[in-house]
Amino acid sequence: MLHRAFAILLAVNAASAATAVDDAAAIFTRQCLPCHDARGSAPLRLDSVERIARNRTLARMLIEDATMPPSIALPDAHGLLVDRRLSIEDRATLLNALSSSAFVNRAFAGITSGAQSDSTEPTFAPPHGWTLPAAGGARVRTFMAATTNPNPNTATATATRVRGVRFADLGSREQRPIRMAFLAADPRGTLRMLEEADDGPDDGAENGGFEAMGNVGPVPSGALGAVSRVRPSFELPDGFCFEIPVGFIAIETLCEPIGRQTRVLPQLAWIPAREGDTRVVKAIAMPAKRLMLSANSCSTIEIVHPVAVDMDVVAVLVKGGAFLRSVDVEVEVELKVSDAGKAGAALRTRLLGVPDYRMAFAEPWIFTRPQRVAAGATIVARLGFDNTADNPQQPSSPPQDVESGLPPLSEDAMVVVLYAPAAISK
Amino acid sequence: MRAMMLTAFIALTTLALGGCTSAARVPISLKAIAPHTSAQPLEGTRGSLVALVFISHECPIANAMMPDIVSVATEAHARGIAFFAVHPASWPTDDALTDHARDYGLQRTVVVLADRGQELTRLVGATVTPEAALLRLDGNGGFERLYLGRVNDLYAAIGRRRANPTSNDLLDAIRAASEGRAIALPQPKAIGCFIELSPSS
Repeated sequence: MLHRAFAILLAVNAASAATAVDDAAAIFTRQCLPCHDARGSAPLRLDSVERIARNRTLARMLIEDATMPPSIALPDAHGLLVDRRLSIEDRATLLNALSSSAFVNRAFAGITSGAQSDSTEPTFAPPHGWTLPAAGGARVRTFMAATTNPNPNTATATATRVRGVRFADLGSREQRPIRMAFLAADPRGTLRMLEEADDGPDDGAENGGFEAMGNVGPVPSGALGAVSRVRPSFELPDGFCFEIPVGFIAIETLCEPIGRQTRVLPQLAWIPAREGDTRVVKAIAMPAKRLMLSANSCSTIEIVHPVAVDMDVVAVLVKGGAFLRSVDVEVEVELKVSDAGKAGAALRTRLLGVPDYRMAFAEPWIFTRPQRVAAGATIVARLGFDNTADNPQQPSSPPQDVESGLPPLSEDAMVVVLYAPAAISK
Repeated sequence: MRAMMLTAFIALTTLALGGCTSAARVPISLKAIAPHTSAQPLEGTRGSLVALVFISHECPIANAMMPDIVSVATEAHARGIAFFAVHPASWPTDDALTDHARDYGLQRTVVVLADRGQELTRLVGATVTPEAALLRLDGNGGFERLYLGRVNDLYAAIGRRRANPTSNDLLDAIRAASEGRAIALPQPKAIGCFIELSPSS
């Protein structure tokens, strides 16, 4: 009798394990394949059962320690940020399916290349690429590209409206070294002049773009959105749009060498605005000015921005290099004396928390619903820097003093808040 | 049974004494990738040193380290040490490996081998790519493993890449061994893409 019950239990367990393994393909297709297919943004292709099988242990380890799927921002209480983290059940199902070659062959037999392909014809790209060296640290390169009109219905004589931007044709080699790209307008042609003045070395290598940030005065790069390897498509919430001026767009790229000389050529495509997307998004730049990071020290820099008008925050972008370790962006509202019983108390709401910032997994953090911030509040960004030998991305041994400037050996850090003024109720 | 226990005892004792292993001559099937033809890294004179780096043409971490691997190979050659890059997998074609060697500039300094049966990989004990080994040959097809670990610390973890490596562990091991000095311990573990060992090989 006991033997029979045990046999039934075993059969039930085997059946549920088989079901769990069968569920793995759906989870994988939803959570992993968008980046890991042939035209995905991830460096490792996992778009066939054979490719999954030969990376089974690596995939299992990275899923187990939650490195994958990449999601370095803390999940917010209201579910406003996209959180790619797997549920406990989905993680267990994937780990089970990756636990043996036999399970991999069974679970992922139906995975096919190109299923998630999202190739788009570029609507703007710089005329010339740039040759990235084979080795060394991350480099900033800004390119200028003439804009084209993605949607004649929303265009005026001076501007056109878009809902967002995406990498076009991620399968091309020219886009693979780009970790992140920030967009900004160049209304006065300042950056174009910089580009024309930058001749570069006469070494035969392609020399498009110029080595500088894509900021113009108070307009930060990122004011017109950003894309990254983790989020290759940037789309504003319903009702919002960017106003793209006719002329040239600056594309500031952060590129990482991949072991051989590579051509860098950011090719992008606008996502046209829809009829109701009328609220134009602007940018608040919160740069870490005159950065000075002493060797063998950690420091936190606080950047404060008083809010003058009611606004809806739609996204937060972060620019940082090897020394940036944590990011915290909060909205602080000072409470009246009667509210808290004492003066100086403040109500704090977190917009973004990134306790373990990794440039390779950075992305534009877009809210699924806009976050209302009232006039009189303060946006506070706290950036934590680590210039000690314990920083796993420390580029110098022993650590050296670091100043503001271009990566990899200097640090340029900035928080960009994208918002639209709140609609005035009549 | 007693023979098996004795073998296991010797193996465990050897591992306990500094982590080095000795291997007797076993047949290994390797293929050299063009333009090279020599495919016998374990055939050399007694006491000679051989450096191996296990790589994968699909692994982004291994690929990112190729300039460093070529640089170490250049110094190894200058010290009279043979240097091989080993692909420990059955599936890449010769053409794919030739293209990879050309794209990453391996052809002039590194002999590229395909270890399709993973025999050399198992013998040396490599588990990830890129992973480096430094061997002292016994002149009879066997070797003493002097070093097994990372090439350098360019990667502190997956997704955590430095601008430049701050420690060059394989190069340090090569310099120490060729100058008769002890190789520093502990030998740092390699970080990269796991080698999936085929059950049939």
